[in-house]
Parts: sequence; C-alpha cells; structure tokens
Amino acid sequence: MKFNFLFLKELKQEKTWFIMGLPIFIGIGIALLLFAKRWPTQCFFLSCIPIIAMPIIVLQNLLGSYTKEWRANTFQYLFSLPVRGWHIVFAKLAVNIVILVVFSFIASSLFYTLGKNMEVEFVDIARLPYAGFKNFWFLYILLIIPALPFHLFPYMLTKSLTKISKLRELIIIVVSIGLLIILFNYFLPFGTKMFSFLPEATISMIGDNGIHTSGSANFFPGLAAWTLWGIIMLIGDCIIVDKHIEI
Amino acid sequence: MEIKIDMDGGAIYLQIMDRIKRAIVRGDWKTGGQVISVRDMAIKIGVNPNTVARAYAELEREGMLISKRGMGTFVTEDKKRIEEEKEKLATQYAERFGKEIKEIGISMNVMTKLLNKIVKENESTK
Amino acid sequence: MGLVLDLKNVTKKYPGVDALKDFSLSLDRGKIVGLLGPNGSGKTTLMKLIMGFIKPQKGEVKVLGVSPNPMIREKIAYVSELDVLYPWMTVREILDFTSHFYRDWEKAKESELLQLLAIEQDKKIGTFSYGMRTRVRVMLALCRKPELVLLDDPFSGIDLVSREKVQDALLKTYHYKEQSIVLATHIIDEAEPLFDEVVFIEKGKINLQGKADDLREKYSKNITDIYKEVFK
Repeated sequence: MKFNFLFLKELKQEKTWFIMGLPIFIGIGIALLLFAKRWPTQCFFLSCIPIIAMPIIVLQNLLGSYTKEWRANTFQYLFSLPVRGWHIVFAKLAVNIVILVVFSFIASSLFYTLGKNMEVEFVDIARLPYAGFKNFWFLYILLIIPALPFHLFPYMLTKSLTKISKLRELIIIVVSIGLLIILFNYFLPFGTKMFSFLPEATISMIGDNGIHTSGSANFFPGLAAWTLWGIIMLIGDCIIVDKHIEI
Repeated sequence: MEIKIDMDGGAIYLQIMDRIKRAIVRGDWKTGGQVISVRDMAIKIGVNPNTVARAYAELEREGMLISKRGMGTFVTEDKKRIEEEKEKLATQYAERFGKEIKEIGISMNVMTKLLNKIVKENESTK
Repeated sequence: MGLVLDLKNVTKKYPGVDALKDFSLSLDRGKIVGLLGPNGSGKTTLMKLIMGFIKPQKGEVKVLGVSPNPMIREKIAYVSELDVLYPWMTVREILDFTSHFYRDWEKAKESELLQLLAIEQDKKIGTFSYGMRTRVRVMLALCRKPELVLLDDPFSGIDLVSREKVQDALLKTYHYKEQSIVLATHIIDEAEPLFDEVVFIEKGKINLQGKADDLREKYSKNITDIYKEVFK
C-alpha cells in the first residue's frame, strides 16, 4: 500500500522521461529507420549508441534521484513519513527499472531491426525459451538490473559515514574499485561454480562483415552469480538507509 | 467581553482570572449563566487552553465559577459571593488609587474633591 | 498521564561540535512546550533525535514511551526547519500524497485549514513565497490528529501575516488535553501566550525550564525578556 504511493510519487517525479524523452527517442528511432535504406551501416552503428548509453544513463538517474532529494532537502520529508527505509529504496529502484525496461525496449528493437536490415545474424542462446529479439532485450535488462543497487551502494556507504565530510568522492571511487575487485576476482568465479548446475549457454553474434562475438559457456551460472551480487548490494542499501543514515 | 492579555502584566492565568471577575461583578457574565468553554476561550484570546483551564480552576476554587459534570462551567448563582467579590475588587482598586495618589503628595481632602469631580463629569457625559 | 518525551543523558556529537551534551529532558503529555534558544543551540538536533533521523552517541531517547522508529512517526507530526516540500507538486498533490501514509488524517480538516491559512490548493508549491510554503508545511501536520507535534522553527524567515495565520491555525486545531506540541523557536514575540512550559537551551544544555506563568511571576518579566536575560 504505502509502497504504491511512494512508487507513484517517484514515477511522477521522473515524468520528463516519458513526456520529453519518449517522443525524442521514438523520433530518433523513426529517423534512423528511414535513413537506413540509404546508409545502412552508419544507421546500425548509430543504433548501438543507446544500447551502450542506456545503462550509464539509468545508473546515473537512480543515483541522481537520491542526490537531488538530498540537495533539495526533500529527503527529510520523505523520511518523516512513517515508512521504512527499504520502501524508499525499492520505490526508486522500481521506477528506474520501469524506465530501463521501456527505453531499452525501444533501443533494442531499433538495434535489432537495423541489424536485421544489415543482415547481421543473431544467434539464439541455447535452450532459452525466448527467441530472437525478445531474447536479446530480456538478457540486456537482466544484465543491467543488478548493477543498479551495486552502483548505489558505495554512495550510500559514504553517506552513512557521518565523520567524513571531505574526500567523499575519493572514498566512493576507492570503495567502488574495491568492490569491483572482490566481484571479479572472488565473487563471480565462486558464484559461477556455485551455480554450475545451471545449463551452460553460448551467446554469440556473427555479422556478414565478419564481426563475431561470443560469450562464455558459463553464461547462465555467471548471470545467476551476478544477480546474487545485485541482491546482496540491494540488501546492503536497504540496511544502510534503514539503520545507518543520518538525515 | 474582550480579554486582552498584557505580556508584561505577569502570569497570564491571573490576568484572565482578573478579567473574568470583572465581567462577573459587572453583570456581563450573568449569574448562573454558562461560561464559554476552555477551548473556545483559548482560541478567542489566543492563549494556551491549559492556561485558561488553570484560570477557570482557580475561579472555581474561589467560588466564582461552578463546573457541572458533563454540562460545562457556569457562573455561581451565589449572589452574596459575587457582591463580596465586587467589594473586594473595589477595595483593591481604591487602595491602589490611594497609594498612587499619596505617592505624588496629595492630601486625602484634595483626593476626595478630585474623586467627586470625576464622578460628576462621568455623570454629565452619560 | 505519562511522558511524551524522555531523554536521559543524551550526547550527540558532530565533527567539531557537541550538539547536545549530557542532555536530559522529560515532558508531560498534553502540553504546549516552547523550546527556546538561539540558532545552533541544539534545538534541531533534539528534534531529529526524537524523529529517529539521527542516533545519540550516548544516552537514551524515548518518545511516547518507545525508542524512535519509523512506525512511531504515525503518531508524530514533524515540521522541519527546512524547505522540505517537492516544488513540482501542487498543494493538492502533496495533501493527497501525504494523506495515504497516515491513519489519523482528517479529510474534513483540509478545507478548514486551506481557508484558515489562505492557501490555494491548485498552485504549485514551487511558485509560493517562503512564508506560504511554511504555511503548507504546517498544514500537513495539522490535518492530522497526532499525539505529538514537533515544530522546528516555523516562524523564522516568514512574513508577519503567515506567522499570525500559522499561530492561529495551531491554536484552533490543537486537541486540548490530548495533544502535545513542542515548538522550537528563537523568535518568541506573539507566540508567548501559546506556551504552557518553556525550556531554554544553549550550546546543547538546558539553562532554564519551567511553567511559563510561574517564570513570569518569579522574574516579573515576560518570556521574551527572560530569554534576553538568559542568553545575554
């Protein structure tokens, strides 16, 4: 109940995404599709930009939804309500996932259509019930979502350390690098082993121009480990907001 | 009845008591009549209701007000008590007047004359 | 009766400052208490401790008999000293948004308070003057029937008309005998007759505490003048 109203409030706060962003995004998409006949290669490469930029934009947007409220003091109002900290974390996360899903859908379909136009061959991932485009979009979202709470965590951590007022940015960078080292050197290898019972899969994309990319055979165990990392980070965010942040 | 609180006039509940007493002895607040509730009085004069309640409670103790359970607060029906209070107040004011007039060195004789003059002037303006 | 607030030997330090030092305070229910002190005396820190926004390094805070927690905020209304409302919302929107979180929200009070405080509900908060925004913040607290109302410096920096309206609304919606109000301010003036009790604090310590009327009698001065004497 309370979560719904927080979610709606966050959605309203992000309404420029939908009022301004959506028409612009769709407009660019239509333009690219129209130009694709004359300049297929150029248009295909342009369609890669939103695919690459989307995660960065959404990650920054999530962080921005905290920093903006902090700066405008509106956080104090939010926290004066009888809600638990995790309600707030979840509402902000959910809205950014909605943005991600909607915009990545457009970006992916554009990428996919223009790719087809270029006669790029999208190879399906073995044994996944979804085929072709859906496959791509779905995996794309799954890969980005765990990054959202992860991206938030170092910021939250420094916010909870009231003793530091200077060097906050530096500490955020150090913590982020530290977490990345833990993630890649220890957590992912360990997690992949843990989830090795999951089916192996290869994700590969071969274009007629010779572009050939392929993912590891441990794709699903890796994805599961990555998701677990995201959940741990989310729990961390919630605990910090609930118990350790001073407003 | 208008009650104005003077911030420099000492305790507020005492000021409220004083104003109510005057209203009762003057007959503005009728004998046995119901008194405006604590909350309404507080809003009317812009003070904390607990302060008004304290003034009412003190007035009850002095027998000027009577609270009837579940009905509200009323002015006492005891006319003797009201007369008594009227005399008390009059004495109080006269004493205050006498003291101040003495301080500027005016004799009792002149004071009586002055009083008579004021009374006459008041009557003629009526 | 019970205590609405009970702080025991509370110390709250910030880097470089001791906001509260070994601070103890108990307040009975059903009173309007003036928390008086200059800027930086620890008033806001005290409010934040009560709300559970911050935690003390030492000591114990009890509000309405329990340790501060998010759910006790259902029984508390808090008006921050900061301009905390979303500028993109209209008054209507912030009223609707806020009302969903409280069981004690009184819908009927909305129109009464809009009128009393002369607020136009269809306007965006961002278009209002500071005084007007303060009226809206106070209104959000008064549309409810909380056991405790915390007002952190609502009079600072607002125009005279807003101040009068806020004070009037405060008195008119006050639930006599049931509600406790803690009003922190460094500008007493017209607020003086509102207080049952006053607590003077300076540099995180209580200087003087007592019933407002008793202090007026004892010092034969009004609270504003006592304030000047205490914080000389």
